[in-house]
Amino acid sequence: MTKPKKVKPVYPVSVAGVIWKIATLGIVDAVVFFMIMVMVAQERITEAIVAVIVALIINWIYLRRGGLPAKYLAPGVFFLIIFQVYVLLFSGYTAFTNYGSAHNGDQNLAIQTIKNAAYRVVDGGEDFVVVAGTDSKDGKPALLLTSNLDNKVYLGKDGQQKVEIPEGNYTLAEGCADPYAEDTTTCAHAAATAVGFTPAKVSDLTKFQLRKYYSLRVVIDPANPNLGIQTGDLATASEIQATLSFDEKTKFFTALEDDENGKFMAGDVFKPAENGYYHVDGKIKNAHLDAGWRVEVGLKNFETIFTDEQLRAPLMKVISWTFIFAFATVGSTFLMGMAIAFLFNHEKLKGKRFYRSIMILPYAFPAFLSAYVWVGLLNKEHGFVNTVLLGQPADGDNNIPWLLEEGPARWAVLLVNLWLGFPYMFLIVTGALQSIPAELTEAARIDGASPWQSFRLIKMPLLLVSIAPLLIASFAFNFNNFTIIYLLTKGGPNDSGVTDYDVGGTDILITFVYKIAFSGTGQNYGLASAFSILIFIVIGTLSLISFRRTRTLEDIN
Amino acid sequence: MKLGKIAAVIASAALLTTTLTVASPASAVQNLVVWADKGTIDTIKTRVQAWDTANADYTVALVQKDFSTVRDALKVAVPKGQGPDILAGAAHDWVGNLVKANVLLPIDAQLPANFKDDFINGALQAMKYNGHYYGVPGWTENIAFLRNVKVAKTKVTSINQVKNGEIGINYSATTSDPYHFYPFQTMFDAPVFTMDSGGDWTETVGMGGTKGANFAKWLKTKGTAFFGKPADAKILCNFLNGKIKYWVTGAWNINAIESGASGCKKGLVINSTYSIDSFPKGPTGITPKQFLGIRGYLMVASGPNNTTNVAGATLLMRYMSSEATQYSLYDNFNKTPANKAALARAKDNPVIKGFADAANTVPMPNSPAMDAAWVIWGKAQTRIIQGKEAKPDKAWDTMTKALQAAINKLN
Repeated sequence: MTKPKKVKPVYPVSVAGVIWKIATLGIVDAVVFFMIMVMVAQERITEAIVAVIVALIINWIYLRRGGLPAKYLAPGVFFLIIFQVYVLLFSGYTAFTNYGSAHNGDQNLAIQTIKNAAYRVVDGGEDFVVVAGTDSKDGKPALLLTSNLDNKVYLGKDGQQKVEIPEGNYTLAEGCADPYAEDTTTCAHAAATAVGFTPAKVSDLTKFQLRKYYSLRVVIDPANPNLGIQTGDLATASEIQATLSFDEKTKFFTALEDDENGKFMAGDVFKPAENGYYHVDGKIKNAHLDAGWRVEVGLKNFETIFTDEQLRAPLMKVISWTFIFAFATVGSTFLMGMAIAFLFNHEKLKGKRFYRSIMILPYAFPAFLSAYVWVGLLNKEHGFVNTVLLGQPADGDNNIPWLLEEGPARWAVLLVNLWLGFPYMFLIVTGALQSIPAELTEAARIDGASPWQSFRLIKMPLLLVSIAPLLIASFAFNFNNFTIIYLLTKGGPNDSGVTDYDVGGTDILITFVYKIAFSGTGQNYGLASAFSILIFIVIGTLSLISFRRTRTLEDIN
Repeated sequence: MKLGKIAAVIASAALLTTTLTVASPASAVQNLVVWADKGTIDTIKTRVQAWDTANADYTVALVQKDFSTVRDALKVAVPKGQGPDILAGAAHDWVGNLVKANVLLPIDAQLPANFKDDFINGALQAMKYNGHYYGVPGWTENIAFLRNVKVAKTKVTSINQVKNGEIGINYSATTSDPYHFYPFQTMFDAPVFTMDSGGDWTETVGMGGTKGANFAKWLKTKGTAFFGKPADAKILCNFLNGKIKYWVTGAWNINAIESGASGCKKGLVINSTYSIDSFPKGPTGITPKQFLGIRGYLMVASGPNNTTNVAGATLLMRYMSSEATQYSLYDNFNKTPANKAALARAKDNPVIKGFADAANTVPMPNSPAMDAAWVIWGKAQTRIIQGKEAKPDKAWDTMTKALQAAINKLN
């Protein structure tokens, strides 16, 4: 046997094609280049490196000869990674963290927040009017301070005691000492400049320079280095007592004063604990500082789902309703769609096309629009359903509280979803019916089968072969049908007893998860992600089992 | 061929670099970014622009955000260093939640010693959380006991004098409205949280125990016969027509009252046909309290690098809290000033005066605990009013315990 000789395929090269290719690649590379520059400017080096690698791969794929499949697949794979794989990995990762309202951002942000608030203004302390500038001798940042108490003028530098400037060595400003004064005619004036001091224009300072001024602390008493004069706005300064000190090396905070509520004492050391807070000695049972950050918490979110007493009752309710909702929706839409499909499939019916088009209309309108229209129709006081269909007076006492009480709201959700969903089933059943050969039913008829028998034993099994996978897909879709629930009832009505989770009568799992993530008592993205992983497992398992089952259907064929 | 491609790539890259360098010249004017909802922007725009014009060193960009989602947007933006410098029109009860999410910057050091005396009692303290001030007050809101003078000639002094079907109060069938019911609750001395010796709210639920139980039982006895149906769309009309005598509401409904509503009578005139009263005393003679809501300006911490323009933002915030600005906001937009001097001048307006004089207010708590409370609290309340709880005191007790559990979980 001779091996077939490997022939390198030769592709025709067209000039237009090459130009087109160069132009497109050029644009892609330009965009990537721009992104990289922005990333580097923001010191996001990892992202920049990833971008470079991705760009190189893309260029390699399209510039080399051959490798045609890769050229077709690359864009799809690229977007799949960005929009699916990355999102999946990220929410998967989030499920194992405590990311949420109280753990927003990384440890550096928390440290910065704690530092920002690690002071208190001394009661009855001296206030100053401030001019920011530099010491003319060494060019270091300095503050020109005019006391509001006795109008004495001082030069203050970071970590040094303030130095009084004798009268005659400074000149007063024309404007008011108080930069916020509304009456500019009678106000006191403060020093604007002095010998040995170069004032700076605040608006010319860079953010980096500004930061130096904000952290500049002029010492008042060398015996107490934690008491100082500080300015927050480069216009006024107050006497400030630091309440915490920070060690840049160990990243620990130390309390300088007793807590006013007695939670901790001076000298207590705050260390990062594994729950994303600074606790005294790093032990969770001890007091902690308020700012938290995002940390990995292992399986804690899953533990909460299975062990939280407050969560159990509402969760069971939500889960059972989710299944009822998904099954009932698939069942009702399929039955209704199939019934109509059979009806309009009748050979002797005239105007089939017209009827079929009409039937598809609810499906043709955007679901968002229909849902909002239904909210209006189901209004308790003035809605069409109550006032016209049920003949109740507007604002009557016996009107059905659609959407306002759990029972009616559940029926309302199911009805609206039936309205929105049956045309789809009608469409696919109609399509499937066309593909059932007429000989089969004819043969059945000749053999003496009743219409019911021919439907049950011939048409139904053949229909299910092609439609069962779609029913499963429809189940999975409705299991997560966020839109319809959220637009109709927002998961409400919310009157089912007391629990500290925000859960309503028509909440399905996905809307419940949404509420955990984005509303109510502070966001908890970690818990919500854990939930969505569980939902994925539930749907995945159900779909897998169902698809296995449908294989047996195919065997009938 | 290949060379050409590479050249094209290089050329396009080079072109991009030059455009970039040209596009970002060093500017001496500093930019302040203010986030606010639409209503707030409409209100403060003129004054902010006036400040902008007067301060050549700064330019202010007002960015519109949705009121209900601006907090979430802030929590996402700040850790990335993309937050604004100021959050304007913020409700003061957001403060605790935002501080916990690491997005606010304390401003104590910039405030003069007796700054709080410039504002009505509690207004600046409402911007305080964990011992630090995070913003300045802008305007205030509170509810009062409105009376249709034609059908109720004299002011009621005790809730016992009010009969069934005489009160209108807006509340939802599912989550009630604890804000509007708070005066009735405090008639039983059952405040939402306890207060410490310094008069600051704690995070310990204070509405449990016998007092809370008494209120719950009273609510059940009164029920919808006394307070009316939930979500009643006809309260305004009934009040104008004199079908109900009293309406528990705030200044936001005054326009509707004075201009009338379609399908019912035309509007009422303050003092001659309607009056803004203080709440009557409780069944046992306790004077009720209302929540004072304060909308203010909060200083935002712009991420890990603290890039907030503190100097400029402080100037602008102090300007917005000044007498002149707050009087102007009252004059043009009927916002009740938090600034004492401005409020004194605004009192020539009978509506402002009415609500200010009727007020026996306490600032609404601004801790995350308050955020957590509304739904749990309201759910129990509305079930009791609608007679869905056979044992109201027990339901109330369950609610307070669930609430405390929810609050403890926040920490």
